[in-house]
Amino acid sequence: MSKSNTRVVELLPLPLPIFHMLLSLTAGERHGYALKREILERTKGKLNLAAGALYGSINKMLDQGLIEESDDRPDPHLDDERRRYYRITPLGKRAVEAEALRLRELVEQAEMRLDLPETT
Amino acid sequence: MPAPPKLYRLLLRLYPASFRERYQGQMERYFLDEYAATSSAFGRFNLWMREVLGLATSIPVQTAAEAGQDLRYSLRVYRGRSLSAILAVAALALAIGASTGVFSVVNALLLRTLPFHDPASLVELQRVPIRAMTPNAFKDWASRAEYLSRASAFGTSEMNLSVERESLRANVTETSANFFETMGAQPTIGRAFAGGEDSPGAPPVAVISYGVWNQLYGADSNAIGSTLHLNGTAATIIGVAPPRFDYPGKTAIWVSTFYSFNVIPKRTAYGFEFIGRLKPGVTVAQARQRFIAESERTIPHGLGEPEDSRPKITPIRDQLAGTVRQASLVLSGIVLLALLAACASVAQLLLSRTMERRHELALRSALGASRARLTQQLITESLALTTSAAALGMGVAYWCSGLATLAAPATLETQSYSVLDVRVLLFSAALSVLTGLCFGVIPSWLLGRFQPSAELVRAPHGGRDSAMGILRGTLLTVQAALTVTLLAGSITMGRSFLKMLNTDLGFHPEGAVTVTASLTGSTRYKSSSEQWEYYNEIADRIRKIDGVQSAGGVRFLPLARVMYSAYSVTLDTGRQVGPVISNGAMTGYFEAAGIKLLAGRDFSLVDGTAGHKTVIVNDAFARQAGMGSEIIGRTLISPWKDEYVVQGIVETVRTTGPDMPPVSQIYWPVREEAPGAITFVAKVSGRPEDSVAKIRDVVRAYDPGVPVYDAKTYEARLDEVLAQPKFYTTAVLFFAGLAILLAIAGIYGTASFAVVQRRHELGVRMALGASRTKLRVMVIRICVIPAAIGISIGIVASVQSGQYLQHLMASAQALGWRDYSLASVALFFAAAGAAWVATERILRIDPVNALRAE
Repeated sequence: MSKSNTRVVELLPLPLPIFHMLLSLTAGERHGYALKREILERTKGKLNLAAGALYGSINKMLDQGLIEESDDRPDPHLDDERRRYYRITPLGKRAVEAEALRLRELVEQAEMRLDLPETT
Repeated sequence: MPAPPKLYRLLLRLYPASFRERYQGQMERYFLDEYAATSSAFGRFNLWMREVLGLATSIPVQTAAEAGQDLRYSLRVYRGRSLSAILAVAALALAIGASTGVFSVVNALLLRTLPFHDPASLVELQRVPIRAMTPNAFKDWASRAEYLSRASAFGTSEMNLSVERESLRANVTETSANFFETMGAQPTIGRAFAGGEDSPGAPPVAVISYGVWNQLYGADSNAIGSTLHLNGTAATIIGVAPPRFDYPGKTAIWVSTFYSFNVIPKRTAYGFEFIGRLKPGVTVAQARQRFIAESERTIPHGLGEPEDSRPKITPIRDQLAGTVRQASLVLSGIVLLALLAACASVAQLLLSRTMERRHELALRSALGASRARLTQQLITESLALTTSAAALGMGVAYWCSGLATLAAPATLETQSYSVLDVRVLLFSAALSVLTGLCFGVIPSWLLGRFQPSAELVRAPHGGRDSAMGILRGTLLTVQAALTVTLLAGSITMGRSFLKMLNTDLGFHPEGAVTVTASLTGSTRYKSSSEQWEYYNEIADRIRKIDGVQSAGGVRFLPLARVMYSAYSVTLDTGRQVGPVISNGAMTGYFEAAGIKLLAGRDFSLVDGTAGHKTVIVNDAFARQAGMGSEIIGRTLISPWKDEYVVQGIVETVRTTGPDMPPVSQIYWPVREEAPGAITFVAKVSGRPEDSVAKIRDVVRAYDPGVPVYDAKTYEARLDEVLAQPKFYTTAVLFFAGLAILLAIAGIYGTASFAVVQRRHELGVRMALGASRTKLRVMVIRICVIPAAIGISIGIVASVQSGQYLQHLMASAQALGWRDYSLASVALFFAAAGAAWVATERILRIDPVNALRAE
């Protein structure tokens, strides 16, 4: 267990696109393009991933063991067979949680020193 | 299934194989979805921009990542075959390095920009068709020549340059006033010559080079307006030339005295040169045609003269590159042959490697690696090989360009050969990528030929592959052809060079020291008798130095690079002898330079005084006059009607070096008319190098105001003359040696590989009773037949190309049958020998084991 904990620490900070993608995958399996749409919506159009960045990040996450390819496919008649579905691994889950905690700590430190307006 | 736009699919192909295989489908689908979601033209434009930008950042990242993996794998592969990898890298490093080195010369001479405005329209004119060299005649002619926008005249000579108390020798160019305008160069500070400053009687003004300004004036702008002395004549400095501008021929000072060239005293032969700028739109060919037509009208006899002095227009770049241009191109050709030979050899090596790895590759393929993935792996492996070879080759290239600078230095500073030049580095990089791709693609093409499943079932060293055999045979043929061509060329060059070394020069430079002193323009030694006193005193002082056995002076030292003017003389028998070149000599010169006195006597101190007008002639002169020693005592008449009595005959000297034919020569006593400079020759006991400084100091100490230069041993001078042919010969020999080594390695590799590959077949034949020697001959034939075909192709190729060697060495004769047969026999035996050694392992094949392996 402690070995995989050190691995998580080594992965931080997570690049922003990877953080967002892992965040989406915590809700269930997605294919690449669905991830892109979801992130675009969640960030209100601020993070618009091009295919190169999207699949580059997916490739990296697969290599790092943060996600894996899913064998469960929807009905082939309903879907393009070119699509691949991905799901988050336990390591991926720990990583995105650790990253969120890291960000929270940062924000708390900032709030202690800065007089920030309340967000709605 | 809908398909995304073609362009997008093409862009996706730029991804490395692994990544592409995993994501191409998904990315295509992604693009279709995005495309469907945007309807406006602006939105689609935005989509394209975003996606292309995304690919532009992502593709390099993915490529680097996969290349890193492939590279680590390549290293493991090569570690297992370190000997063949080292051989391949060494061969390629030498070949790529040498090509780069030679290219650095070609680049400097033919490609690099010159420090003039629009150098392409600058031409050198030889023999301008005017009757007398006056300012008006030349200006008239230049304004009438409708193909030239401007023309300038100049002459260059080495002069004594004195600035305050410093005195040195420098190249000085006397020009017409518009020289800098024609060249399109503006002085860095000060100004160029103004219109009337070249008219006779105008006070001389000078532009100094950037180098002289830094060296003698410490880059002080007060230099403008100060005075310098050239051969004793004062000139006012008006400007400093731009950095790196030193046309013509490393000029240090330009003076406006072209039309009044008696203002600065000069005693050496002096040639006029002309440079013109073509009018816009006029080609060199058109200008040449009109120039020659004009010359034919004005001086018709000019065209009948030897080629060197015929009217001619040459683009300035060609003129500056001179003979080195041809030589560097021929050398490029030779280097290219060697590079091809090295490539053929490395291709052999990689082929063997691919064949050995068939099993491994088939296994990887069966485990899911696609063909594209394996191809990428093979290409990465060969690129790793060639780029490391190119990196090592830079060392070789650096060494080559250094050698070339010694052997054939460039005319101008901007043309100095350098490897650290963008174009040269790109050339080297391109070569390594090209060869790497070539070696990567051929094996992967073969890779496509085997079926993974079939390969797996078969034993790793199974049957034979006929396409592979043909490819190997072709490579061997190409290699043998290249090697024979290079070998035949090197035999010719080597033979000519040895002949040069063995040529009797007529003088013996061993143990001699030379040093030159110049009195041109001296204010202290003006008359001929004052100068003679100086020279005689110096000669006496040298003779008194410890260890000096004999000493004397001469006007033109053999091997010195000077222009001789030739004329004819008439003997009292009525016979004309010519062309004759003349030279001034002092008492003791012949003895010190090791030139044998064949008959008569050497000059004494009275020779050359009134009533003692005598000369010494050489052996060639006597023979041309149809006489032997009876020529002594005869009178000869100079073109100026002076009469001289022949007092001695000396051995014939090859004045400009071993490749010069012996010509008739007359020596006059220096006492008769002292020349502007004398080179002293001293024969010393012991090592001559030890006496150089001593002798130079004695000459300098007598009068520090006289420039004393070129103090060196006579053998060092001979080495300088021989440096160029030596360099070219060494280069050709080196490449031929490299080629033959590579050929031996290639043949050895092919033969031993054939044995391994045919082990089973050989075992069967052995079991059936074939003798081992017979089997050995069978395998040897596989290698020797392509080699023999290659040798015949090589002979034909060298017959075609042999003539080009004369650009490297004038005395290199065309290839004879002896050269071809020697080269062919040498290569044939080398091939057969290598194959014989390689097939030794047939003796160790145990038929039972060989059969069981199946």
